[in-house]
Amino acid sequence: MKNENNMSPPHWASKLFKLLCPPDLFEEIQGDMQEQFEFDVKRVGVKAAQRIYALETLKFAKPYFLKKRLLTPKKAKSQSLIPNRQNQPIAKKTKSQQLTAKSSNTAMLQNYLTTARRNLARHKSYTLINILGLVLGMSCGILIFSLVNYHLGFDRFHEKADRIYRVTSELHQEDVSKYGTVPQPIGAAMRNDFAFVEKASMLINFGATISVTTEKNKAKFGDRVAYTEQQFFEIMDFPVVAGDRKTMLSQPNTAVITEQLADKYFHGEEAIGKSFRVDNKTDFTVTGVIKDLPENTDFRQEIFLSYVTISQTQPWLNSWGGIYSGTQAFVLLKPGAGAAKADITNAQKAMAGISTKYYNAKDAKAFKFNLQPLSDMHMNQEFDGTIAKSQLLALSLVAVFLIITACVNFINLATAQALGRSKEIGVRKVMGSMKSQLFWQFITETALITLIAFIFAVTLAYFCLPYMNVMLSTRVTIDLLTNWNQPIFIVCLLVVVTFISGSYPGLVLAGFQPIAALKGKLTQSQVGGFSIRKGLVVAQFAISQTLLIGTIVVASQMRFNSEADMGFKKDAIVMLPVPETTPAKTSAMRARFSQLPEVEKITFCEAPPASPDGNFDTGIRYASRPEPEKFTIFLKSGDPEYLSMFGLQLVAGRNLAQSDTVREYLLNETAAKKLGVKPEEAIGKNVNINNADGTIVGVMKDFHNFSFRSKIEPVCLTTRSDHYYRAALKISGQNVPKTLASLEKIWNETNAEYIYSYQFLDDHLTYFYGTDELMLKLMWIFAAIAIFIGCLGLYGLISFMAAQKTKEIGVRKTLGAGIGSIIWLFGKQFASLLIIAFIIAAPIGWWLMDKYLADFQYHIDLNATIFIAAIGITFLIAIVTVGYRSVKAALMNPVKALRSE
Amino acid sequence: MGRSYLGEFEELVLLAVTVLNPGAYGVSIAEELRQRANRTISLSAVHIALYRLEEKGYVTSEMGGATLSRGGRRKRLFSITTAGREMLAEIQQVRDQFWNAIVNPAQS
Repeated sequence: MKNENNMSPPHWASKLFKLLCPPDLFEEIQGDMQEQFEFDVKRVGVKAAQRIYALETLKFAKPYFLKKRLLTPKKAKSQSLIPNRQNQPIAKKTKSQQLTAKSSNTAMLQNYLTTARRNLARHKSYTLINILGLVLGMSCGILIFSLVNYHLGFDRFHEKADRIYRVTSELHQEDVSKYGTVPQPIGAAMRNDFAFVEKASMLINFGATISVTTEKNKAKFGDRVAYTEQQFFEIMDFPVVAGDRKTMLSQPNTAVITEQLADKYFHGEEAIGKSFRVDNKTDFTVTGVIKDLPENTDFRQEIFLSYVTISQTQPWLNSWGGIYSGTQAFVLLKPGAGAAKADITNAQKAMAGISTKYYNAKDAKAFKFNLQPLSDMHMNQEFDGTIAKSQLLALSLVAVFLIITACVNFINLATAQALGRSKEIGVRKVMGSMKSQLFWQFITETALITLIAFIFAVTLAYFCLPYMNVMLSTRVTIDLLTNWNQPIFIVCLLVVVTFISGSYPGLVLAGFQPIAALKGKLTQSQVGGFSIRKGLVVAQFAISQTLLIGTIVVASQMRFNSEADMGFKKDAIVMLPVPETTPAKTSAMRARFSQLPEVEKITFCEAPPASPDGNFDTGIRYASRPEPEKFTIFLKSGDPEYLSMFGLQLVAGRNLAQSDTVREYLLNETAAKKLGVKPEEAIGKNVNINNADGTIVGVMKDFHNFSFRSKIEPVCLTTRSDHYYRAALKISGQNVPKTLASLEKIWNETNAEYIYSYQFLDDHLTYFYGTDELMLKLMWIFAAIAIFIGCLGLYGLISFMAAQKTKEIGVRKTLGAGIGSIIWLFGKQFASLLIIAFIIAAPIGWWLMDKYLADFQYHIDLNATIFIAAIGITFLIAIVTVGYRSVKAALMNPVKALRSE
Repeated sequence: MGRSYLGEFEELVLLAVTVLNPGAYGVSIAEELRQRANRTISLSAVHIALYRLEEKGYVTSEMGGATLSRGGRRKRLFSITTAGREMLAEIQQVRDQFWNAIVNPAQS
């Protein structure tokens, strides 16, 4: 036994050989192999023979045999490879044999495609609904994918990105506040004090007015500038077109600009050596030109000015005490220093040394500094990242939902259609079609529809992209050629959508009993899955109703935000910038503007009562109390006109007196309450705010100094003319465009070197709600798409029911049922579906929106009306969708329905 | 004119088929080549050559009777066709001409 076993070729090799060898050649070659093996056993022994056999087997894995192997159909086992025909070029024969073998595979595919095409052409509305649903779902998917991809790819292109970190600061006071910005001297400290830092650079952002001095007409531009140290371009990989990366910002008064700006400023002339003027004060010479900034970077300023220009002249740059909101510091760690998490933790521990070295004992406790990876910058909400990962996740989920909804639709409609195709399936089965073949036929058909939908979806996505970019202020591009992960995603999307939507109907179709199918005796219960489909429609409507509830709530809150009383007047107030705050300049402006009859009132101030910017909170020490108060107070500056301008009321005392410096203060009620005094008691008391003494002369009624998100904070108002960066003008309502034009003219005459801009106060206030506005828009769009796709699904379901109940309706009608009762037959079906969906959606919507509203200190109440409105809208839309189909079914002649027995 | 040419190995296989006639099949051809050409020959290569020759029309084949030695499997026996003979003759002729030219350069 054993001996015999040993005498045979290795088992695995025989198996492999069988796998590799073309079946029609198997017998003879296997014979030859066996004979050779037996011969070899005698010649070199069993072991060697087995080795030779195995080797020989492997050699059969040659393209020649493999091709033959693949092309030969399994069943066809011809006795002879080629019929005996002497003196004939046999090649032709063989080729044609191969051809038929190949084409029998493609012929079936061709047949599938033909059937699919005819089927789609015959049921045009069905095709249209399917394609429309898929197009909407998929284009949303593509857009959202590109968006998510775009956000994930921010600042990843820097070669040393994994070693680049941003220094962040933490301020430990009553509570901890975190900033992505830092005190200015920290760049130098990082560079000098720590061994693990290879390079470091500060980056300080400003808005600026650029004038090109070489031009005769002195063109002016408003662009952002950043003062950076020379190592900045060694840390970040912005391609340098002209200039030396290492030294281009080493000298004072040098600048690096982008190609695009070089073109804008110097009209295509060589930019190096040219100069421009910043804020009408300092001239800078261009020493470097970089390529235009890529879309996916958070560095958006296009003018980089050398840091040494200001480091000598600006003392505040050496101050550790304050954090300016435009100052950032970037460090490049030494290779390996940031490799492990532990290293970063150690580095951060070492950085505690900064606090102790540069601050006094008290402040050392308050200031803490940390490192933040460059890749984290875009996402981290703590440091004002653009978008949170959770938001991206939510968006992706919405995309997945929409795609699934579209697929569900497809499944619904396709299974509903299946009954109509029972004859075809029956014939195919009788002709010998196998289950798997029918399944693949249906997948082919689905793939065809998906492909058509997909082409439209890509086109639609292309056209919607610019709108999306404007809406979300992004720079997303769809580029299938250079960015490899977009095509991969798209192909995956195609395959996944095809299989999700095609497999269930495919299985249903393939499972038909051929005899029943041919006899036309298939009933809907045999087609099956009606409850599954009902469930799917419920899911669709639950999703769209949740979105709808959300949309209504956010919209109402937004209306509340803009209409609710903020405690001050905000209508017909135009705000203009005041670039130079000297008293001479402001009084000149005041005099000029007062001449206009349309201007009713003017006030110069730092910021309006509520403003997203220009807020400054500082310490306060009241009367003779020895210690400063625990809370901070928001310091606002404005002239005595401020109160009447914004309609602020006094609860005690009097208005401020005209002055250019701090003399008197007005507090608000909250401030008085926090101080623990009655408004009347505070009058006449001395107070020290922001290290400036003054007398409290009055107390203002509370007004909202931020959005409705935040509580009313302690606020004080004082006169500080050097802080009057804005002029607010109350204009009469008539002929606003003309008024604005004259305002612009006067402004330009009084501020010739600067760029004019204006803003209505209520527009200014909408900045508080920018993200909400965006969210509202997105939710509108998603809700609309979800409802639309859902309606398509509902339509499909109703068509399905109409087909199913043809006989029932016929019988009912002959027995005297009215049209109304038959329509109700359908109505109660979809009504119950919608109500179930609503029961699911309402609590989810309530919970989500409750969380959303909790973010607002002052908000609307969730009430039943919102929910009633949501279900009402869905019902209305559903009735429109279902109405036509059910009326058509109800009006049908019962004879037609009953005759076909 | 659509004529197929022979590779060196194919030519050897074709010659072996002629020599071994009527007993030319995979193993015998491989063995013959091993002895005469004194080189390692793999069965798969021989088979490929045979099938190619058959496609080109230089050999023809039929299944022979079953033998005990091969696990009862039948052999495919190959024999040369007229086209094959002509091809061999032509190759021989071309070679001869070259050899003549080498041996006797004047006579070319």
